[in-house]
Amino acid sequence: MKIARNLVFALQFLLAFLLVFEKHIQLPSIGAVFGRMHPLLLHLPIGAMSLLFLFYLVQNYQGRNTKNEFSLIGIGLHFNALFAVFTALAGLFLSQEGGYSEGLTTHKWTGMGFNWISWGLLLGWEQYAFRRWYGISWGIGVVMMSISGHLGGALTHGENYLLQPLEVKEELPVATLESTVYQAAILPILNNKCYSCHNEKKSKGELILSNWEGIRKGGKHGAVWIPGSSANSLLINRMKLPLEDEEHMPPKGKVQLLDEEIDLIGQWINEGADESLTIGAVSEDHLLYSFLVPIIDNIQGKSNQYTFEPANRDLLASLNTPFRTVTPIAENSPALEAAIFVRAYYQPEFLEELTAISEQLVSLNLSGLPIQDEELKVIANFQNLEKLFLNQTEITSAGISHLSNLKSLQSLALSGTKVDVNILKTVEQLPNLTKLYLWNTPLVEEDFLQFAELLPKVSIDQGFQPDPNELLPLSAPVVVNQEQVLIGDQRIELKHNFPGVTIRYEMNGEDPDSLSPIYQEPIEVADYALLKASAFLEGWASSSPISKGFFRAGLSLDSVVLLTTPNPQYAGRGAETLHDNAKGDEVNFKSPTWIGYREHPFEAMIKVKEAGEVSKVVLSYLNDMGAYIMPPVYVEVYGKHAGQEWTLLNKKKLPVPTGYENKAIELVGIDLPKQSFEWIKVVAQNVTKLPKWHNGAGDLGWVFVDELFLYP
Amino acid sequence: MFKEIFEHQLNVNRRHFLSKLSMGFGSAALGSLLLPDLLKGGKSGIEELPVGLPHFAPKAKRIIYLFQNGAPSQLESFDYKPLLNKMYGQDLPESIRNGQRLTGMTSNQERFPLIGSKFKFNQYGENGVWVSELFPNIASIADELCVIKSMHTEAINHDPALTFMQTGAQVGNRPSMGAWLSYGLGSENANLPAYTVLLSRGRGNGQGVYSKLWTNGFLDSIHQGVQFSASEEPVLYLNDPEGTSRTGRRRMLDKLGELNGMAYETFGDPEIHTKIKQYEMAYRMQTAVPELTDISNEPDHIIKMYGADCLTPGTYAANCLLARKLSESGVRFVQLYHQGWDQHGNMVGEMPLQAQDTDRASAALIMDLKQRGLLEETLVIWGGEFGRTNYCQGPLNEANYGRDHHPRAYTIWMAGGGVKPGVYGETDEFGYNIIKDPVHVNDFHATVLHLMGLDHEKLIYKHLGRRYRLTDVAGKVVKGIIA
Repeated sequence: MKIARNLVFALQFLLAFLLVFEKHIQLPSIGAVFGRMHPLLLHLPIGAMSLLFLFYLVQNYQGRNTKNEFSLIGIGLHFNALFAVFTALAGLFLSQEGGYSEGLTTHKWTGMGFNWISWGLLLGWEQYAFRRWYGISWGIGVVMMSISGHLGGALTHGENYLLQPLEVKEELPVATLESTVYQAAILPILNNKCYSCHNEKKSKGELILSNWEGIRKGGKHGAVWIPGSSANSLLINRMKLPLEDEEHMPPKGKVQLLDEEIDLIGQWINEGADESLTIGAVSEDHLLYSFLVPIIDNIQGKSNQYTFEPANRDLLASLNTPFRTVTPIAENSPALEAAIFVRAYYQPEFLEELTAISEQLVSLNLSGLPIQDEELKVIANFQNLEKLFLNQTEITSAGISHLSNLKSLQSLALSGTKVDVNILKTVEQLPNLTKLYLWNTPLVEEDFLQFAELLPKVSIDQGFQPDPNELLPLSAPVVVNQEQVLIGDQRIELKHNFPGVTIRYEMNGEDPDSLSPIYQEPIEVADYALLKASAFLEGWASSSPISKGFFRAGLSLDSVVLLTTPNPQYAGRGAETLHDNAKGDEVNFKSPTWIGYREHPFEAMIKVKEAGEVSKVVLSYLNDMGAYIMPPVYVEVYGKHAGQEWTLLNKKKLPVPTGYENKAIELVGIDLPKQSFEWIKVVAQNVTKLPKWHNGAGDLGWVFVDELFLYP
Repeated sequence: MFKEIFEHQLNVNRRHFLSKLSMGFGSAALGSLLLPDLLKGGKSGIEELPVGLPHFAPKAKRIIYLFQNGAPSQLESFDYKPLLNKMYGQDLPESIRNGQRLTGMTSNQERFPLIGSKFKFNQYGENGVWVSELFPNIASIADELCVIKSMHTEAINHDPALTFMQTGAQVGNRPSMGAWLSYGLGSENANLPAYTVLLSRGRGNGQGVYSKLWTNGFLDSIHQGVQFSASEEPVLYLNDPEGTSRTGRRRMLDKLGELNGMAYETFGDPEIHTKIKQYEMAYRMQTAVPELTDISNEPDHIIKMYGADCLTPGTYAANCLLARKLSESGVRFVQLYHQGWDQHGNMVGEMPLQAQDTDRASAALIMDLKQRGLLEETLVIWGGEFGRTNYCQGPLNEANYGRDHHPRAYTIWMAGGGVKPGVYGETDEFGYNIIKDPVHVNDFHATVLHLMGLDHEKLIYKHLGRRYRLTDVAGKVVKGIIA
């Protein structure tokens, strides 16, 4: 305790010395660090002082007069005095950094007073503890502490920090086109983000950013900005430094500027930092324009600048039904938009009931509903309506005549209705109309010319006009049946959704032309066919053909043995894959409906069930050149009886592709001499060197097969 | 089974515990006044879909996203780089590549020979937008397009890139953009889901799409994308079975709802609520879906506009037409995926086919929305998940070439819904690096949400003790493309 008392004494002495020679202090940097601990240290004596005072009062009240140095309060007073003087010293150091307003002086001396009272209380404890004046001094100490603490808070956080939430916010003057960019856009940012440290009362770095004079004067480090060059402007540079940098502004921990705010200020500086530049003078091609759009929108009332009262919430809730949606256009906006949906369930009441919000409604969508002319009378009351959609309704010009009072109407959509040139009489009376949509109406070219002449302010959309000379291709016909392996009396069924088209087809892999057979009923397949079919219609180009292989389920294969092993990645379901009547997946060659070979040719041996005659072998393969999957170079078919050697029965070379082809499942059929064999062998040679035009020229190509058919 | 019983007991115990704590609820209520977010996560009672409101007046009310899956080459479509033709066959300078990582497909390649587009380019419209000869119809609407040439992403392979583009994160399980919008804005038409998905497949080399791309993630399952079928009936099994009347079905659903409500009382599983809502949605969809497939009140030339393919269900053109009808009927977010844009080889063969299948219908969709006055409130987005390299993948040859994945720069375009027509951003002469106004995927998301009236920093969902956003902790609204 004695050490503590001596330490306090020494520090008080130091403090007194420094106070006297305050003007001459040269603070070492370690001192600055200690100084910055002031905001931390100060909480200790505040807490101690208050709590001890409470103990003291309670003890007084109970009449207990314990007052030795080791009593609770005695120890506490040592603690309190010690940290009070530490805090005072730190505060003194911190104040040397400068930039504080006149509030500092009061803060300093009340703080000092508190410090000395703390010391005095410590010294007088054992002797005078329960004298009246001792208690009164303590009370004064607490009051000084409170004053000093409050002023300190104001210094750090800004004037009125404490009571600010209670204050009614002062509204900035409403921006108009005559307001300067500085007033309307720049100053509000500085006020929000810089004001707390750079104002008339507290000007860190001798810089004031809360008014034009202060900005023009600059601070300790020079001019705030260099008109015309944001890159050389101190303000922008400081804001753009990394957050960790000592010099970064605002300091770490304070609310930072948004990138777009910095960009805005930077752009304004680049444009000359002209105080008198008004918002109205910023044209659309001006680089500042995009930054000012929200403000300009506000001025022009494009955002929710509506003056009418919002609708009652319960009313709003009751207007929302499964077929009608009524919502505010944005949070906190009184303006409403409404839409009615589903033609088949429409009732005229759905529209009539909107009369309850006739004042608030700014957008109404009735497209596609069976609205009649008479019903538009309801809409005549919607005096704030800006957008009205009546596309594909039953209305005519007679209905439109009810709309002549819609003074706020800006956009009117009448596409797909029966309106004619008579709507001009009404439309001319709409002062704010800027957009009129008239696609797919009985109006003709000369009507539109008349519209353009009489309505110069309105942009009129005629929409898409088909070009009778343009010959577009039809879409290909669709094969209805999913299965490509036909069983029993299954046939190929084709379909086309375009009314009136003719489907022509070929079964031999040739492209159909205008002389090919017309599809009239499902097509029968004897053994196999490569069907190609196109759609034909007057006024349209014929479609590109659909191409698909079909197979009548052939001889049932007793056992199939793969003589060469497929690549393990594409082993499918082994030999089973070839006779499961499941065609390969057209899209995904990784599917187990395929088996793939690359290192060697495909070779499979088939036991023919009743050792009957086989006249045809058909192998179905994938052509997907982008994935290195090529048609086989050739296919060979061999036959033998048990115990004999293989005899080559036929070999078919496939045409060498000359470039990339569309991905497709293709087939090759091989006729055999009429002879019966017990075993048949099929070999399909993969491409050993991809052609020059191919992306993988020189590499091995793949051969992928999915199904094998034998026909008697 | 044991697990379920255990879970149930746990639930019961929790209830018991909570009821004992009811004394403490007064102070919790007081606390909740100060912490409004605290109790927001909890759900009570069976409510209708909450209709969210935009934070500020939106520029667009609906989105149609024409996702070109597989990454269409920007160098054969919108980013014209004649230097690549001049420098045919020369190596990509290391100063340009600058350490860019490669995919496993080209990392072993010894040379990176530059190759220019085989297809000619021309400038179109007031803004002089460069468009290749493969896209004549899109070129014809150049004045509507806001072309962003400076998109860049972090992923280099399809799945993470696609997932990043759709959900804002490269790993799965985060809600996708459509789910966030459904959550933030709700459905405009109560008879249709707020988020629908349509798939089609082109004739080029394709990459898969998976339902995780339209997942609700940790949001309520009601926000999941509803995939429409590529068949004649876009929604399967929607018709009532023969002999069932609509009132009968209503009574059945009411009773079922009661039973499910009891199950909820017992188990407290929020997914039960979702299930009830989904039954209700299906019931209401029975009224709205028939209109979607009916084009009898459209003029015949609508077929000419979109191309004859629009009559074949499951084609890109048919999906564009259906997308317009869905959007017109108040579906907040219509997501299309068109597969087949992954031209590692055979650019010359496949790119024209892909373009043929998409060009006319994409342009038709824009025109069709416009002529109905809907374009100004509908945002249409066209683009893939990354770009393609300026050098040839595989050996160089005169006739054909391929391009590998390139995350550093790619092109997308938008139209309608409050975007400013024109060209934004720029790549260097090699088409490899961005030299002006880069747009990161997070920035793209922030901008799309902004156009829809949502502040991407406020559209938040708290899950597993952390707040999540579509843009996570990044993203900057790109002011330069907003009209």
